[in-house]
Amino acid sequence: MKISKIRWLVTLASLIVALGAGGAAQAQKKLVVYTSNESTLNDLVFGAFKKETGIEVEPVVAGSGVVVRRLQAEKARPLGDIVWGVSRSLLQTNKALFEPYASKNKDATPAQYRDPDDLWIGNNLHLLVVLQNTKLVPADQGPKSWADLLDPKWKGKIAFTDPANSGSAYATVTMLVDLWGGGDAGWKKVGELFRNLKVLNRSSLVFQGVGNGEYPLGISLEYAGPMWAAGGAPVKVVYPADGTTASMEGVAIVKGGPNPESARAFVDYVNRKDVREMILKATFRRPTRGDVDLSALPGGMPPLSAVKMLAYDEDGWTEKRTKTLERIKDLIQDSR
Amino acid sequence: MTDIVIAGVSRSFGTVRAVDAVDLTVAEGEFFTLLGPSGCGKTTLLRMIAGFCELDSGEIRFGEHRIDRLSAHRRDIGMVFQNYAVFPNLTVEGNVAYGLKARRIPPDEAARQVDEALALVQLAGYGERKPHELSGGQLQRVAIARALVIRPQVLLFDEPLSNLDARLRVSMRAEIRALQKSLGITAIYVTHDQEEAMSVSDRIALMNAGRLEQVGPPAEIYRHPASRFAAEFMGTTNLVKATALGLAAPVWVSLRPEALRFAEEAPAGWQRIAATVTRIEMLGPITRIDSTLANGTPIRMALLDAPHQALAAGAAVSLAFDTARLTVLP
Amino acid sequence: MRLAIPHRQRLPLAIAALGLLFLGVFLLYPLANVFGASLLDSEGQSFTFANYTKMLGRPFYRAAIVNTLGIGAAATAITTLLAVPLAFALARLPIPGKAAILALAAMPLVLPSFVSAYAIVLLLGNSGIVTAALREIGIDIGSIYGAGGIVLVYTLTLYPYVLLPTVAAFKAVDVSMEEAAQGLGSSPGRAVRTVILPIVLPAILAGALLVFIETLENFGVPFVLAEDLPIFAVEAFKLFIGETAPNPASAGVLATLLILTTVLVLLIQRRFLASRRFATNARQAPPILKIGPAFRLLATLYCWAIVLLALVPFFAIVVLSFLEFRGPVLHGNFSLANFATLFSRDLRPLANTLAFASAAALCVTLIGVPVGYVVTRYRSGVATLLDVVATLPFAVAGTVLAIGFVVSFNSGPVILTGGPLILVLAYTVRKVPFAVRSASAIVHQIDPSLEEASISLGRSPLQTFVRIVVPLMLGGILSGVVLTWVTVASELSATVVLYSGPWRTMTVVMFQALEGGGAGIATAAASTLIVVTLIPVALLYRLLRRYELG
Repeated sequence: MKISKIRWLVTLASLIVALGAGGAAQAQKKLVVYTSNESTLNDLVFGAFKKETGIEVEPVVAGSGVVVRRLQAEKARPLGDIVWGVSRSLLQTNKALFEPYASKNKDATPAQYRDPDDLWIGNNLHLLVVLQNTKLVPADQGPKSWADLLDPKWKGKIAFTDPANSGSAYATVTMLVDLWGGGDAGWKKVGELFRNLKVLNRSSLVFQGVGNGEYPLGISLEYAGPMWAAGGAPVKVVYPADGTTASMEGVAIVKGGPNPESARAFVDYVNRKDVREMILKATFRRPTRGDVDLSALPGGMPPLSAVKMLAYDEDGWTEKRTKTLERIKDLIQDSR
Repeated sequence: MTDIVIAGVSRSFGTVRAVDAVDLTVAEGEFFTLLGPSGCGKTTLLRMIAGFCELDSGEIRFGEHRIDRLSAHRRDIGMVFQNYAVFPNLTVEGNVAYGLKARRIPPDEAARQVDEALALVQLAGYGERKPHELSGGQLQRVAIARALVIRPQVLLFDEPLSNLDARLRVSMRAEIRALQKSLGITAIYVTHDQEEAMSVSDRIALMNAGRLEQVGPPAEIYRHPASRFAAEFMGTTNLVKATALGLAAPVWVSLRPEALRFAEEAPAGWQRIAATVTRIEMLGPITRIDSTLANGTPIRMALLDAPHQALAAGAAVSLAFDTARLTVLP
Repeated sequence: MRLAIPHRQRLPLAIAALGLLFLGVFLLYPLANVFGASLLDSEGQSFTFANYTKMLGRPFYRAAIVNTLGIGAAATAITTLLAVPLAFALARLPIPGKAAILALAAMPLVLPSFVSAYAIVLLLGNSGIVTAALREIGIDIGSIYGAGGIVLVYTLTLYPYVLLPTVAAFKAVDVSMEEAAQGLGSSPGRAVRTVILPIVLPAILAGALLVFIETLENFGVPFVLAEDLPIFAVEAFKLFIGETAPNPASAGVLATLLILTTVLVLLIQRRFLASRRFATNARQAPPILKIGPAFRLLATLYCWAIVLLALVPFFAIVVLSFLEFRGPVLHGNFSLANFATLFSRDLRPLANTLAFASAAALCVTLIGVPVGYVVTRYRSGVATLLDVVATLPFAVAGTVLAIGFVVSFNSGPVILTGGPLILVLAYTVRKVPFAVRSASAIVHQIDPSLEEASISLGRSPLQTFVRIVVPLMLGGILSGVVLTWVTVASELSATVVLYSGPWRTMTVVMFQALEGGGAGIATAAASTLIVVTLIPVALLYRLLRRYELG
């Protein structure tokens, strides 16, 4: 009895020690990246980065909300080096957590896609588009514009993401408020749109839904279209004729992170022209840098100049976010 | 081997005084019974002695040693429970050896004592069995062997026979008393069955509402109940005003049914009363005859079986009793 | 007097104190850090209830409360109605393949609920395989989205919570009680109703409570299936870590309400059980009842139908893992490419999952069993407090607890972030209620006089607990271990916030793959997890069977 009790305690203690010690073990050259990019993109970039630099990336993958909450929680003792794949507005609002660094690709990136103090730099753009499942809605019978989505025939057939959980969905709604006259007039029309929408909880459900045929249409991000189409799904991207906007994702160095040198190397790497082309080929991310020739690459993505772009006051809407989200919640509830 | 002193012991549960200032001394080697209706506090008192219930005030001593603040497992008692409490995960042997192992008795010695104890309760050869293979009576024997084998200072029995059938109860109680006497261990026994109490006990403490109603040898309590409660709880009795029996004193008296006879069979000098038979109940060895006195007082009489052929309900009879057998009650 | 504490109370008080200390540090403290926000005004300065009145004033959140409670109640009722007869059949009727059924019944828990939901959509969604097939023959099964679909998935995935403890309880019923009832002239049916059911009721209620609370807390299922039906846990999740506007005050309000609901349900259950205490001390496994062939066939069909139905998402995932995916798109051809891709990466996540699940199951058992014992045996204020605190983790969404952990243990005296211990601790806290509830249900059935007998024979309360109580609880403990092991292996919501660097688990791999374009890898990972989990579960059941026979 006595002996077996002691044996138990020893086993337990050694287990705890072993588990605790694991956290302290340090690899030689490594980099901790907090990323809200999907695993395909992560695996591709981290693998190639290691091959070139020998730096082992330890990814922490989560939704951008989680990533940022975690950064904030760890402010006193940062465990990550890099935050990657989060939206411009999250980068803007969390500048205090970042370390400035002037990327080697700074000049190739238009000024609107980087921080004037070099606290962050944009990597890629997501155009807000409509995805269409061409098996459920023949290619030529889909909507051509945002206005077309107001047609009652689409009621319950358009998947959308809850703006409370998706920066791009928030951008879509607010962009449409402005497009449709701004103020109460714009909100009234957005309210009409909501009557046609199925508001899902996560953006991945929208493109999965359209790709798998759960929903004929979805308001989503550009890359999802070519990605599903490349896999053989009947998915087509509709660039709304009445214009759209781009939502940017970028990278920043965490202030006080454990591996600052590797972090700077990663920021330089991830915006290099050849790397952007590699990323576009595999995952259809539209780069921020203007010198990549899209027509030479797969995915059939039009150059930015061929898409009607709307002016969008991102910083203004970011500022009004709490109030605006409440208004959207009520709008959703009223339209059910 | 030890006398037990219970001094000023009280315990309340909420507003109920379960045990109320009880003073008792149980002599060394005595077979002592706590008797009373359910809720009278007898089980609470027993559990205080065992250490399963705290005292609000007072103290309990085994000999010179005060034990009421001792942990239950250090009190050196053997306890037998109403529902046997035989460990279902151990064999009969494992059960009996349980307390010996706790006392670090060497295995050989323990095995010898277990065999001895099992023989004592007539379960020799049952050591390998699992509890679920045994009957209720056998389980209780295991429980008794388990309590005896550790040679405790004190044996406690908490209604040990109430889950057994009537016939087994009668033979088991005789066995329990014989075992206790042969080992000489002081025993406290809790029951609500007055017949069982009288059968096994050297002395009985009759309890009611947390208090001791009367303490004494069975015969004394039976024959000379100190209160109406004692008179009524210990068997049946006629509880009547003395005046109803044709006596002068204005007091309540207890007259046991078996103290009455038919007048024609009674010695001269016995008090005689006229009555009308209302019911006759033949119970084998005895016959119960219920009747009513002229003033309407019901009277019960018990006779050893004798053919009273002419008697039937409604018959007018004359009854007689010895006034010496009357107990005057406060 | 050396100590003011009566000796009889020392062991339970020591256990309660240790339990409360652990839960105080690793549950209440992190939660206080998270919920403090809900009681502060927008400047974070002064104390206010304004956040509460504001949230409850909005129809959207009121609707969320009503939907959540309604779905929870419906799922709990249906689950219980299905699982109790199933448990009885498995415990007392001659059903072929019982051991297999019992082992299979625990399997739905292996699959993280977001994976189940993914499978359900592929099968029963608007363009699901089953939906399409049925539409071909003219049957419209309606939409899987919404309250009905959520209740369906809950029922199929959560019924083991009721089944496993109830089977153990049915087996622990003393045969003599039943015989006594029948001896008194009761029909067998009446004996079940009046004698057996009251004895197993604590186990059933404990299981039903787990189901109800799990439905309150779970967001994996409604996240996918609710579409735009507002659901409490989903809204709380979004408010906590929504990408756009994390609103800790409002999130704190929802999380607090969620916890208050759980506490209320728990107190009701405790009160209800307090007036019904049943104990039985014979451990003679009750005999298998003799029934006619028709009834036997019916019972067999019933058992297998439920168990297999619940495994449909499970089978679907296994089948999918052997099909070809191009990016995220499923093609119908057989392929091993998913596994090839999965195994070409490192296998560390699999090892992590196994190690974490085992460590957590051990810790949970060491904490949960003594605590479950104390809260059942001792009806004092401390015991009630302990019971409530030990059940709280169930009401705390994993995400919320995890954020509390990061906030609390990233600096200051205890630094845990970055290592694996924080995951094990989070799992332990989250799963302690399992062990407490299942231990408690069994303790309800152990006659207290067994412990008193042991103590009177000279064993201290602690030795008595180890030598008498634990062996008698073994069945319940083992089923608790299985539940813990399996549910830790499929935990996502806390893991995704707490894991770091090399400590990725299988569920994280699945989640990331499914979110990105790698549904194929996700299904392969799920299949692998299924196979690997099956082994210890099967071993444990073997052990359990031997224990019950021996």
